[in-house]
Amino acid sequence: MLALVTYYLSILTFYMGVLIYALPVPHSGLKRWGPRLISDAFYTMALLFSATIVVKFAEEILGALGGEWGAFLSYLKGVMMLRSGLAVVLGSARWLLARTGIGSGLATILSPLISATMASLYAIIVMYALALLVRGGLWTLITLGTTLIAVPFRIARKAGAYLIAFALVFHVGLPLYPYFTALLLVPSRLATSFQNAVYGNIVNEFGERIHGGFLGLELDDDKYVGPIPVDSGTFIIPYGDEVAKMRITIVYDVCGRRFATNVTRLSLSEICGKAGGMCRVTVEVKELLDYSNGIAIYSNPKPQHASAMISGQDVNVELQSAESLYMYLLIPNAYRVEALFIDNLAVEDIDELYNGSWRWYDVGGSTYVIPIQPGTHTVRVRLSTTGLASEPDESHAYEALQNLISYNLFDIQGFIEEALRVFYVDLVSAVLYLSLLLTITTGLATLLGGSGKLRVTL
Amino acid sequence: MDVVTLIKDLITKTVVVAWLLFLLSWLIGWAIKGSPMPIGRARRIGQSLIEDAIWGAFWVAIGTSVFWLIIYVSAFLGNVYPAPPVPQIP
Repeated sequence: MLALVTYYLSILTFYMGVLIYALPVPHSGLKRWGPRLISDAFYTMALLFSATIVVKFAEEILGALGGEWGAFLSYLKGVMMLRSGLAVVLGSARWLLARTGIGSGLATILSPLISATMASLYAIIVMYALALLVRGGLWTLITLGTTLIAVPFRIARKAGAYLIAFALVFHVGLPLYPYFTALLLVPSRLATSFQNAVYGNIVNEFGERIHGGFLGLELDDDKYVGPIPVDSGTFIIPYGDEVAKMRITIVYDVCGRRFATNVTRLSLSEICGKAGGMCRVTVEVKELLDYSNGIAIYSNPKPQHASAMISGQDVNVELQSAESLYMYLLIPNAYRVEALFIDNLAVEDIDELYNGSWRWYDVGGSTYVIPIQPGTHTVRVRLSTTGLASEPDESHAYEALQNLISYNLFDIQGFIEEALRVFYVDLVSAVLYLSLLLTITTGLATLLGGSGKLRVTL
Repeated sequence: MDVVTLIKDLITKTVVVAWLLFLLSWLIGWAIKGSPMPIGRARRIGQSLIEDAIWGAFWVAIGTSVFWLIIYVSAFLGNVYPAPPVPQIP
């Protein structure tokens, strides 16, 4: 629609130029508009029709420089994940330290770190918003810009030229931002170590997302790093170069049991498909049906179909299987089983189903085993809370994360220095790059919308 | 679509006015040029009026052809646009 308007506007401009030529006015300021309008009309029409060629040319340049929009958007998302994850870690570390009397001094040092992380996160979000705008609205911007150029008497010419230049320059320039940041960052072992992270969701074998819980990493040298908290169904594990060379196994560490996942004895390049960088992995936990707030349900062997819902003080499980299986309920001591219903029939003696107790860091609990016959069955459990903790204390998670990060660096001072440099550079490079692109935009806009190049005689 | 119709309407009106004005300014130009005024500069105004009027007429005549040429070339590039309006004198 806009293109049609531009087309007719340029024809109108042409005929207005002709009209001015025909005015019985001596050659003066107004008369000079005649040839200008005519040449403007030709220019606008040429611009309208060559827009596709120009955009294709711009994309050729982008490809030649090595940029790519898909990779750029995932890079941005990964960096956002990493920064926000780090902000969460630092925030909880600060809160933890502020609780202890001596550590509160260290907590105040962490505050500016957190602000720096949030500032760099904000800069990345701005970049992401710009990227979405240019990616989705490229053609809208260009067509709108051409329409503005087509307005007679050059009223909106500079504005239209700026819009077109903005769209083109940012379309080519934004995907090159990661390379620009890499230029600014002095390459060092510590710098690259912060760029590597694995993140993603947790699902069970049926593809349903698990929204909580903890992960553990079993590393080559028999070291176990855990529990790493899963926040709202997403986990993030930064790793360093040493870990990148190892074969790791990710386990789902809840209720005193380490559930195997699809990541067993794999190296990170095998998981990610490439060495280093940010990559997204979906971790599939074997046997688990659901986990929430300290309660875990799993079954062995795997049923054909299962849906579990844990909410507050009710556990509802629906199972369908062709063979008989056992369903295990891992209930921490934070809850007490009030009633248990199998297929809506109350079980009189719940203690019969009791199968031992377990210890999960500082949380104790019990296991209940329910034998399920073939067919479709429902199990309902009603619980009451006892006031004890249902998940391990945060200090364990903090310790785990510290262990993970300690694989990457020499000392805490180097860590702070490096972190400050990375975050500072992040913020600065974003601002610098944007101003660079805007300056180029101005230059291109002057080229597109400057005084007419086609000079018609008189 | 209303904007497009408005612009098309304006184009037609502009061309009609342009043709009439072309005739008018050509006449005025010859009148001034041929008038028995001793002031040479005044006569040159007449001369410029005539020239501009002729240029105007030239561009009106040529304009359609140029637009047609541009659209023909752009058809090779894959753009399809409606034919430019060819407004006639009433």
